[in-house]
Amino acid sequence: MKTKLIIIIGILYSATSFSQNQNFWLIGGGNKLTNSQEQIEKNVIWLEQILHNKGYQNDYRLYYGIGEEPGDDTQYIDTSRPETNNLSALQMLYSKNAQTGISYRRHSIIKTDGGTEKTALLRSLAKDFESLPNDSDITLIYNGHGGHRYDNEKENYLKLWNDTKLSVSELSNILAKTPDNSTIRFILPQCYSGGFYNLIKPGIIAKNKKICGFMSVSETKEAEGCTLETNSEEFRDYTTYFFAALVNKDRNGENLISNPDLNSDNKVSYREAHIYTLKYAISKDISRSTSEAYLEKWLPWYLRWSAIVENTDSYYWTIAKEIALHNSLKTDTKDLNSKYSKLRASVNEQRYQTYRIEKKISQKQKEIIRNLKDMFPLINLTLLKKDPKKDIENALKINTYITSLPGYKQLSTYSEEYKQSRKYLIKQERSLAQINKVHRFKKLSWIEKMFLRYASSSEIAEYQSLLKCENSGSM
Amino acid sequence: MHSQQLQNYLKTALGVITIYPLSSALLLFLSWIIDNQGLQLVFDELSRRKFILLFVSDWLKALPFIIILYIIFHFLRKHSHRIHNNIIILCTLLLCLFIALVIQSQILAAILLFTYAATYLLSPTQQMTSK
Repeated sequence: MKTKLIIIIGILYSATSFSQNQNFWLIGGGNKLTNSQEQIEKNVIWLEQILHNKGYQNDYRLYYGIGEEPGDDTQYIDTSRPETNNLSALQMLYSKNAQTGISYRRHSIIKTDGGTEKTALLRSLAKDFESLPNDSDITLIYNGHGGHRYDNEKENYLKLWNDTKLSVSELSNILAKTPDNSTIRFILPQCYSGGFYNLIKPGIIAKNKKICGFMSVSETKEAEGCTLETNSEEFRDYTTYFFAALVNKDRNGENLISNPDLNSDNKVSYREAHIYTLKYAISKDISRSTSEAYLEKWLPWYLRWSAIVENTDSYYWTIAKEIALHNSLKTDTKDLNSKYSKLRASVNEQRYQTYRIEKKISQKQKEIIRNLKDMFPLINLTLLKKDPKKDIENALKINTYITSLPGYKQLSTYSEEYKQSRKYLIKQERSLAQINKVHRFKKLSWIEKMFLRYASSSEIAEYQSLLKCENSGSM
Repeated sequence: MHSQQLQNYLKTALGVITIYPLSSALLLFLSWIIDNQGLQLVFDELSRRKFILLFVSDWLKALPFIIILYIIFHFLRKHSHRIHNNIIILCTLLLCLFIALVIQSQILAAILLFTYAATYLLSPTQQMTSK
C-alpha cells in the first residue's frame, strides 16, 4: 500500500509535462433573456482576455448566447437610465421579489463563433472537433446555467440559449467526435454540475482518449454565481477562483492569498488551481475534480457507514487542515459537527424567513395589481408588463399611481428586507459549506487509504490516470 | 406441521432482511453518541431520493453475504453439541473486533453480530434435542 501511496503523491508533486497544442472551447450565456445575467458575460470576457494574454488568441472558439445574430441576450441592473427610474414602481410590481432596475442589452463580446442554441452549437462543435488533428488537447469551459434531472441525475444538463438543454449523454456523444488519442478536460461551474462526472464513465468516450474535469458542486446542489451582482469583488463562482489561480492574479489584478503553484514548477496546473479554489474560495460551492468523485463513487457497501479514521498521510488531509485553518475551524469531528448542527439550524431558519418575505412580496404585488385592474380597466396591463416602452404614456401614469398607494411603500420595505435576508442567508450558506468541505476532505483522506488497500489494480490505474490528466492540464 | 414450517421460513426471511437496516441504525446511533454526527453531515450532498436508492442498493449487495453468514451460523449452532456454543460466541466477538478495527468495516462487524443474534433467536440448537 505504501508503494501505491508514494506513486500517487508522486503524481501530485512531480513537475508535470504540460501538453503544447491546446485548444479551448468557451461556451457561455444564459438560456433566455430573463436568465442571462451580466455576471456570466463578464466571466466569459475575462476568460477570453486570459486566453489572449496567454497567447492562445488563435486556439479557442467562443460560443455565447445569441451569438452573431441581432438582438439582446444579457440581463443587467441599470439604475442610471431615466426610463428605468421612471418606471421602477411598475417594474417592482411585475418582477420576481420586487427587484428594480432590471434591463436588457446585447452582449459586449467583440466576436463570437456562434450562439449556444443547442442544434447550432452541436453542429459547430462537431465541425470543430472533426477538424482537429490526432493527439489534440481539448479544454471545454462552460459559463452558464445548469439543470437538474430529479429522476436521473446522471442526465443533468446545460441550459442553452432558447431554453434548449444539452444533457450529459448528448455532450459525451459530441465529445466522442474528437480525434484519436485526444485529452479532453472540462471545467463546469454551473449548478448541478456534479452530474457531468458521468462523462468519464468507461464506454462513453473511446478507450484511446483521456478525459477528466472539474465541477463546482455535486449533482444535487445549486452553485454560486447566478445573481445580478455587478460588483466583481462579490463574484464568488468557481471560475473566479479557478482561473485566478491559473494566472496567479485575481480578476481585479490583485495578488492571491497564497501561491497556487504547489510543486514550484512555475506553472499552475488545473489540479493546482482546483486545490487553490478548494482552500480559499469562501463560496457555497463544494467543488470537486473527477479523481475525487471517482474515490467517492468507488466506496463499497461494506465501508459506507464506517467511522472516519484520520489519515494524515493523504494530501486530502492537508487540504482539510488548510481549509479549517483558513476558516478558523478545527479538524476535530466533534467540534466540526457541533458547529455544523448550530449553523444548519440557523440556515434553515434564515431560509424560512426569506421564504416568508418572498410570500409577503408576492401577496402585496397581487393586491396592487388587483387595485390597478379596478382603477384602469381599459389599460392593457399585460402589454405594460411585457414592454412598458410600447405604451410609455400609460406606463408613466400607472407608475405614478402605484407610488401614491400605501401598499407600494410596504412593497419597497419588503423588497429591501428580502435583499438583506437573502444576503445574510448566502453568508451563512457559505460558512456551512466550509464545514462541509473540511468534513468531505477528511472523509476523502480516509477513502483514499481504504482505496489503496482494497481497490483492484485496474481501479488504481484508472484513478492514477485521472490524477495525471488533471495535473497535466494548464494554460 | 406444514404451516409451522412456513411460519419458521417466513420468520427467518424477515430476520435476514432486517439485519442490514439494524446494523446501519446501530452504527448511526454509535456515531451520534461518540461524535455527535448526524445523518445530515454524512450525506449532506445527497437528495432524500438518492439516499434511499443508495441504501437499498447497499442492502441488496449485503444480502448474499448475510445469507451465507446465516447458513454458516445455522450449521454451527445445529452441531453445537460438538462445538461448544460459547466458543462460537467468543469467536464471533473476536472476529467482529478484528473486522471493525483492522479491516475498518464497522458495518461488516455489526452484520456479523446481528446475524449471530438472528440465528440465536430463530434456529434452536441441537443440544436440547440430541441425546
